[in-house]
Amino acid sequence: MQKWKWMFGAFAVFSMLTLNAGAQDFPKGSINYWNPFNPGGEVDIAARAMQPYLEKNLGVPIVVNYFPGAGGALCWSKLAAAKPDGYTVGGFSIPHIILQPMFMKDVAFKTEDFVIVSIVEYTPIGLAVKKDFKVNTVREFIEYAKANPGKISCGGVGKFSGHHFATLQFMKLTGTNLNYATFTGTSQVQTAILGGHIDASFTNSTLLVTSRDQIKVLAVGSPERMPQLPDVPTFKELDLEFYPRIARGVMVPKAVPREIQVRLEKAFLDTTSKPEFKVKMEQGGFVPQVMGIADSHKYLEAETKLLNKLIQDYNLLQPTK
Amino acid sequence: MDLTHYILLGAQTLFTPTNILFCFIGVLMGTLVGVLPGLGPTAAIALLLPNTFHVSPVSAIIMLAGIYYGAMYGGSTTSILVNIPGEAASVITCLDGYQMALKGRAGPALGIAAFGSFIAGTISVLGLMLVAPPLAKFALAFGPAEYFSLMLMGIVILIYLAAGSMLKALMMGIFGLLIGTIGMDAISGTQRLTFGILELCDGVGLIPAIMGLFGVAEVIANVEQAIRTDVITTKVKNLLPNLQDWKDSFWPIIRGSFLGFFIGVLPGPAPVISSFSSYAIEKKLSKTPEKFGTGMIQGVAGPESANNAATGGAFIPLFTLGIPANSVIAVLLGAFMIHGIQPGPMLISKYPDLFWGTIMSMYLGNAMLLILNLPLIGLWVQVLKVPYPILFPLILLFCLVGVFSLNFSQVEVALMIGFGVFGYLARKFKFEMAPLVLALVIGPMMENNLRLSLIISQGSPWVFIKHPISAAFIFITLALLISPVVPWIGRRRKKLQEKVEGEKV
Amino acid sequence: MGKAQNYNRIAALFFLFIGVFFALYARTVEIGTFTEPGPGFMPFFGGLTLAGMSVALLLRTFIRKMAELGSSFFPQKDSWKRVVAVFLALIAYNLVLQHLGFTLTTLFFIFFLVKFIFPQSLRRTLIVAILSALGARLLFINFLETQLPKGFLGF
Repeated sequence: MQKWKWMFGAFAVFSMLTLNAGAQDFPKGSINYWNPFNPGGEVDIAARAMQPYLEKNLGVPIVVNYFPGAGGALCWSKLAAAKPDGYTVGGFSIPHIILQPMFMKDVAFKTEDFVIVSIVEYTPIGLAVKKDFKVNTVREFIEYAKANPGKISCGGVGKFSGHHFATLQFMKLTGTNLNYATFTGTSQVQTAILGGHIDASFTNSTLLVTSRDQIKVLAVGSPERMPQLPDVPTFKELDLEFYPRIARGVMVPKAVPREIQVRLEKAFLDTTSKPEFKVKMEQGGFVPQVMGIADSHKYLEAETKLLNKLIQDYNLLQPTK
Repeated sequence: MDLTHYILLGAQTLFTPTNILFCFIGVLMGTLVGVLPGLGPTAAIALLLPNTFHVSPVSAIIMLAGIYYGAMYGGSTTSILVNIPGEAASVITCLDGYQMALKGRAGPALGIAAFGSFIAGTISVLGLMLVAPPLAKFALAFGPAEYFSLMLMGIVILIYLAAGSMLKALMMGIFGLLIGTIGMDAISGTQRLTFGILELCDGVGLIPAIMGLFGVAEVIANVEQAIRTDVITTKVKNLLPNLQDWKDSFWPIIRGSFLGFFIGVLPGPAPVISSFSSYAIEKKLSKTPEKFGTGMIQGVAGPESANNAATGGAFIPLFTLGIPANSVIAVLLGAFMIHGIQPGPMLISKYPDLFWGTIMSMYLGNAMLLILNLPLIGLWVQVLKVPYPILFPLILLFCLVGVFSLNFSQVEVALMIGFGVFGYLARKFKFEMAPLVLALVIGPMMENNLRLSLIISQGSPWVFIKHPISAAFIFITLALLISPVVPWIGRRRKKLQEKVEGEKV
Repeated sequence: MGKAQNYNRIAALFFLFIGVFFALYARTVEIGTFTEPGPGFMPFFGGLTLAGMSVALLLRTFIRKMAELGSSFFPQKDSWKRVVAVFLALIAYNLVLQHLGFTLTTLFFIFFLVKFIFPQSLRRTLIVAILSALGARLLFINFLETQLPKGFLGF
């Protein structure tokens, strides 16, 4: 019995020592990283890839918590109300944080409630169909969709998210009518399309890359062909001016003191500029970015302008839907 | 390369001092975490993960797997001793496990839970070794329609758990479903019944509900009685299951293991579903179903094996598809990625030492759990000897801290107290708690899948019958609903016949 | 007409109320259609089902004869005092925790329950209360590093 106590004690001391090493003013304890989506999704993978570097840089553990729901709105609503002491950071997705406050009922956050510390990566969105679906190109897909309006089920994550918006944009551009099915995380979309339960999906390049042998990737929304998917045409090549993508990174409630924001920014920039990190992300199908607070906000503004223009031009997204 | 070679490879990877130590730490932390409610495995992993970065991925995964198994086992300890489930999967163990403890048979209950879990773990590891890829395909065949039907069947199975009236159990179940709708809707983002309270946004927490319904309510119900000097009426005799216990438990363990393993392959609350399905099956197959709920060892052996086997099955989607079944396994996924390993269909062939090392570690983890916990049974049983007037405040404290430490929310503690009141009254009115809690777990998933299925099928409810697997579940559900009524119809007919013919048939 | 009838009737009425409540509430959040089920879909149908079953239960109490249950609601005359006391203690703990801090609140809580519910001697109460408070503190705050509140006294 004594041995157990000794081991407990030794272990406790060991943990406390590891955790206290390198304690300065901030951070003094573990930092919570809130993930607005399910385990295994893009935010999760990016977070885990960054975790060791961040922990080394900041000297404290990073604890990932999951708050999936409503395409991220749940997590962001909570984040807006979280204590602005820098110990809670959240993953985010653009355009979700722009579109959701605009169009969702009851949502408890606004885009301006946050300060983006860093944009870490973006994933172009591409169109994929399940393996036994009888189309092989985007042209054929559009024809099939026109012949069967509302019949093709198209999965995506969340409402007023990047996927949803991409689907709507595509429908307007090509004059088709697709049936959008809302899932709570990319892993769910992945199982659904692999198992043939949905016909198609506008989804992230990460899924397209990891599952490319089990689904048919028809096109991708990057300006040029992605190196991870050399045989997949871009929408641009097919005469569709369509560049859907989702940018992700980390943000904090805006009331967090400036010095803490900068400290966090430094940690993330140091992490994302490491070559090994970049390589890992590219392998997974991401397009890694190194952007600090200023750059990220410039991007946010640019995207907001672009989205507003698209919404106006195409009369997308009536509220209450 | 044949199987024995792989096993040796795995064993070689495993039996290094570092790895054995990691396995041990994982299992220890896991059990501790499982016993203390509210501290999920994720928290334990968060504490320990930093220490794994400078060691190999295999060691990290070995430790994490240990935590996972340990937590599963720890949860059942409190279920048996004080009727407080450590997590949702252990709710079922309370039903008969606690009754056994009251009869002085806490030792055999704990013992059979340990042994059953070990055997189940072994079977699931074997399963993992032999049938991982085909099973992955099986998991893929489950889409929204299949999930909905499975969950619906699950809810109906719940009524079979009832020791008392089935109608009342079903009512509690539906009530649980309704409570599950509170919060921000996952699909549209609308707030439902949250009254602007932020904590309710992601729904009524499971832990406050469990702690309230099982912990607080139980204590209050006990406190109501006159002074109890002993919770245990008879002396605690044997600490281990005897031969009769083994005979009774053998088939439940085997059945539970296989059931749990297959259900575990499906992402989602697999341990919960497998544990109560196992209970229902054992009750159905038993020659004395009415004794379930009074301390039948089958009611502990089956479910405990099932939920441990499900834990093993949950690794399959990770290894074959790269899809984590829950947040604990997602951490494993992260560990893979950090070490540059891309999970997916190619994982097993590209990194055989990782796969086989993990398999062997799971086996070792199971064995360690058994060795670790058996001597502790004697210690745990001592807890019951503490006089109740002193024990019950500690139990309440346990519940309070457990709930508070989840999200540091007074709202959740208040919820727990509210559930405590409700649970206490429900006991008085002879309503059962388990269906409500289990419906609370399954409800949200069921609703999402229902809506998804309808969206995809454009509103056609026939989609649930068109898919063969889903149709099978619906059929079973209907059969389960109708079967209690059939004998009733039969009896009435008999009575009618007697009346008409004026004599006994 | 035994007590069991009454219990079931009260319960049935309670659940009927809940069922109807959810069904009505569902109408304020979109129920949606079968093609596009909204947030109110499940609450509506669930509420209706519950209401239906409550009615069934209520009817059953009139049709079938049931056994007598215990004579009164509380086993002993003064049981209710203990029940209420424990609930009040729990509520008090929740309210006071942030102000007094974990260790002190726990101390008072345990002391109160041990001394007043099933009264133990003062000496025993003090020993148990102090040991529990300190032990809990060591376990949760020091070893497991859970962030439990420190009161205005600083610990």
